[in-house]
Amino acid sequence: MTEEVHQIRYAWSESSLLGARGMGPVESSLPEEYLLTWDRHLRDHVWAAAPEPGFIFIVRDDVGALLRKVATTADGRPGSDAHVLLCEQMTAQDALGLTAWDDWGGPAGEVLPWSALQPLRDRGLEVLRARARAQPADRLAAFFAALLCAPGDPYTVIGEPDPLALTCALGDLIGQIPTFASDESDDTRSGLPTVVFLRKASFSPTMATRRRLKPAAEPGDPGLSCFAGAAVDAYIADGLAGIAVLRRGHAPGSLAEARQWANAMQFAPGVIADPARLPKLSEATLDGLTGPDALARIQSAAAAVSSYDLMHSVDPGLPPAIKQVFLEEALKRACLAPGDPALLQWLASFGSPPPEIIDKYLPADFDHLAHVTQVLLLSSGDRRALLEREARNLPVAAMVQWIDGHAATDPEGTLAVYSALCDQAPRASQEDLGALFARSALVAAVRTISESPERASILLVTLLRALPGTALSPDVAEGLAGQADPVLLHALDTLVTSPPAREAIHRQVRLAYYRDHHLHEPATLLPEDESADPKAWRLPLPSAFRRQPSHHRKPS
Amino acid sequence: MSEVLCPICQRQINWTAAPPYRVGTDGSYELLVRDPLESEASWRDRLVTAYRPCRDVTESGVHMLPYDYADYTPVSIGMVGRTKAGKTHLLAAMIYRLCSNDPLLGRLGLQVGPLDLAIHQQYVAENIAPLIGRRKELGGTPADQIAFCDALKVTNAANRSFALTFFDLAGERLGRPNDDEVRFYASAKALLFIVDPEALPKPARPYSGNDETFEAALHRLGARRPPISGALHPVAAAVVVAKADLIRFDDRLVSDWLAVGSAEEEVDLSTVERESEDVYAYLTQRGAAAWLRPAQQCYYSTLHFASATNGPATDGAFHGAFRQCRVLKPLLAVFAMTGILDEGMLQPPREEAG
Repeated sequence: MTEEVHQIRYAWSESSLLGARGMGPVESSLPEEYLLTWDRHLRDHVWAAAPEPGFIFIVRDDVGALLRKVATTADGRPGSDAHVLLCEQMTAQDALGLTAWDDWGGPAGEVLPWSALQPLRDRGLEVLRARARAQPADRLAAFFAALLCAPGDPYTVIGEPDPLALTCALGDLIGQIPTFASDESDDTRSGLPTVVFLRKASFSPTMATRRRLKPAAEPGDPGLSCFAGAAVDAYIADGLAGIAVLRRGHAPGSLAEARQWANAMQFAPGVIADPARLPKLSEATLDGLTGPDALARIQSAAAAVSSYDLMHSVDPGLPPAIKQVFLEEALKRACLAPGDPALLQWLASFGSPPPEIIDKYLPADFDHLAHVTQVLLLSSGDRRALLEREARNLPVAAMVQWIDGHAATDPEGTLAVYSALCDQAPRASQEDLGALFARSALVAAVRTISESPERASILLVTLLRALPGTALSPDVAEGLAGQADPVLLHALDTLVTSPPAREAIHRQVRLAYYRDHHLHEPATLLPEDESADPKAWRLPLPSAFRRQPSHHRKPS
Repeated sequence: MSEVLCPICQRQINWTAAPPYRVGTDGSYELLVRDPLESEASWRDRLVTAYRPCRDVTESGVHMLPYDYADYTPVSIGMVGRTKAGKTHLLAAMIYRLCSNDPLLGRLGLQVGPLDLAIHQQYVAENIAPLIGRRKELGGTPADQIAFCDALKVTNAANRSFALTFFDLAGERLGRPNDDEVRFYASAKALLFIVDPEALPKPARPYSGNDETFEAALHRLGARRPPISGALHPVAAAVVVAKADLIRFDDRLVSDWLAVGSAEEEVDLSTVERESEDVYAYLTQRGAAAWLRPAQQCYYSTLHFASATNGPATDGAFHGAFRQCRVLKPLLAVFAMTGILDEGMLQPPREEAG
C-alpha cells in the first residue's frame, strides 16, 4: 500500500463491517482481512472527547494512521464518529499537515492516491507552522526546556489551546515531530502516541506513566532554558531556517544528550550557534561573545557553514573580534582552494588583510597565491616581498615561464618573480637557460613591466649578469642579438665583450636603426655567404640554438 | 491482614509496604512525604485523601487505591451488557439513589459515603449531575477505559464496612472474546447483567442472537467455578431488564412492577423473589432464554425490572415524567447476596412463602 491511502470510518451501528454491534468500522476501502487487524489497532482510539475535531496519529506495522474524531449526537445519544487515513508513507509531519484535509468526514470507501494528498499536506503544514510560530515565545521556550529534561519520554499537555501548533513547534525545535493525540479525555491507557493533549486534568485510578509537560515557571535546568529560549526566538523569527543549524541525525533521547546537544549548539549560553543569526543579535549579546571560548565556537561554526552563509554572516555591526573570525575563515577558504571568485571579491571589499594572516593560510599553488594577493589588494611592498619569497621555491624554468605568462596581467607580481629569478639565476641549469633564451631572455616581459626602455634594459642586464659565467656565450649573445630588440641589444651591448659577438650586436643595432628609418641595408653589410638569401638575418632565434656549440670563450 | 488484591488488575499488593501518594493539581500522583515536624493528627488527615499503588510506580499499569481500601471488605460490582443496553444510566441512577442519604436506607442500617472522594466527585460530575440534575442523556462509555468508575464505602448495621468498586465498561469492550486487560471478573463479588429489552426476540424478529457480553462474562467466570460438573459460578448475579419503561405496555407484569415502584417498596427486599419469578417468566415467554443464563449459572441470582429514566431520550435529553423506577432494588439485592445486608432480607414474607 506504499502509494495508496486507505480509509476507514468508525461510527456506532447495529452491525459494523465486522458484524459487531456498537462503535466499529462502518465504511472502509481496506480488504476485510486487513480491516480486522487495523480495527484491533484503532478501536481504542476512536472515542472523541469533544464535538471539536480531535486528531490522533499512530504508527503500527510501519504504517501511519491518522484519525480524526468528533463527538456526535447523530442518533440522539452522545457518541463518536471517526475517520481514518492509513498510508505507509505517512509520517507524523505529514499527519500534521493532513489535519487540514478538506474531506474529513466524507465518504471513506475509496482508496486515495498519496500524490493527491501531498499538496494538501504541504499547505496544511505551512498554515500550521505559521500558527506554531505565533505562539508566545516565553511559553513555548518553557515548554521546550521542560521537554528537553526528558526528551525521550512520552508526555501529556493539559489545557493547551492549540495542540497541533504546539506539537508542530516542539517537533520542529527538537528535530522530530512526534506521534500525537490532540484531544483525549484520559492519558492512562496503553498504546497512546508520544504526545497527548488533555482538555483538563482528569482523575483516574490508573496512574499515568507519562509525564505531564508544563511550561515551568522556574527553569529546572538553566543551561537548557537558555538554549530553549534562544532556539525559540530563532524559530519564531525565521521558522525552520532559523533553527536549521540545530538539525542533526536524530533528536536527543535523554537529558544527557539534550545537554550535550544544547551545549554544542550555542556560541554562549542563550546564543544559538548559527553564524547567520549573529547580525540579528543585540549589541550586549554580541559583546558577550568576544571571549576566547565563544570566539572558538564561532570559529568552529564558521568553518561549518557554506561560503554563501559565511558572506552573509558578517555585518558591519559585529564586534571586530567576531568579524575577524569570519574574515579569517573566508580567507582560509580563499587561500586553500581556488574556485569561489565571489568569496575573494567579497573579502577584498574589507580591504587588505595583514600579510601574516595570508602567510598562515599560504596557498600551495603559486598562481593561486599571486591571484589571491592581487585581488585582495595587498600593499605592493607586502605583496612583492611575499611573492618573491615564495617564488624562490620555484624551479628557474617555472619562474621564467610564469614571468612570460603573467607580465601583461600582473606586472607587480611579475616584478617580484623576476627579482626572485635574478636571485636564483646563478644556479640556473642548462635547461633553465634554454628556457630563458628560448624566450629571448624575457625581454618582452621585462619591457611590459617596465615604465621605460632604460629601466627595462637595467632589469635585463641585472638578470643576464646574474646568469652563470658561461651562459652568455658569443653564440648565445649573437643569437639574442639576432632578435634585434633594442632593449635586449642595449643590455647585450652593456655586457658582452667578445668581439665577434659585439660585432653581431652592433650589426643588429645598425640594422635596427635602418629599419626604424625605412632605409635599405647597404650591400656591404650583408654576410658574404648569405647573399643568396637576403632574409637570412631574420631567421628565428631558436635556429641559433640548433647550431653546434662553438666553444668560443669571451676574452677576459 | 488478609491478602489484598487490586480490583482492577488482580495483582497481590504488599499493602503495608505500599507508600502513600496524593493527587497533584494536574491529576498526576505524587509521593506523599511526612514532614518530621508534622503532627500525627495532620498526617492522618492527609492520609485520608491518599492512595496506595498496586505495584512499583516505575512499572506501567499501576493502579491507585484509596489509602484505607484494605481496611474494609472489598466488593467489586461489574455492569455487564451490550452497548446501549442502559448500563451507564442505570448505574448512575443506582449510585444517585444509594448516595441520596435517604432515611429509608438508614432503616436498613446502611451508611454510604465515598471511599475515594476524588473519583466519586468525578463520577457525580460526569454522570449523576448531567443525568439527574440536567436530565441529559449520557454519552456512550468509551471502550478505552477499564478502571472502576466509582468507589463507595458502605457500612452495614453490624458496623462492618465494605469497599465497593463499580465497574462500568463499554459494551464493545465487554464483548471482546480475548481481552486480557479486563480482569475484574476474577474477583468481582457481584455482576449486574443488564438486559436491553430492545434486543430481545420479537414476533417479527424471533431470533436475535444472544448477548455476547453475557457470554463473555460467564465464560470468564468459569475460571472461578469449582471443577465439578454442574457447579455454579460463585458470584452474585442480578439480571436487570433495564429501560423497562419501553416495555411496560407490552406486558402486564412489567407495568405492574413499575407501578408498585416506590421509595419504600424499593428497600423492601422481600419482594425480590416474586419479582425474579416474574422477570424469569417474562424473559422465557419472550423467547429470551439466552438472557437467563446468568440467573441459571450463578450461585446467587435475582432478576429485576428497572428504568433509570422512565422514558426514552429525545434530542439528547429526558423530558416528561423523568424519574428513576426500581433502580435501587437490584443493588440492594446484590448487597444482600454479598453479605453487606442480611441475606435473609431476600426471603419473602412467611405467608407468601408458604
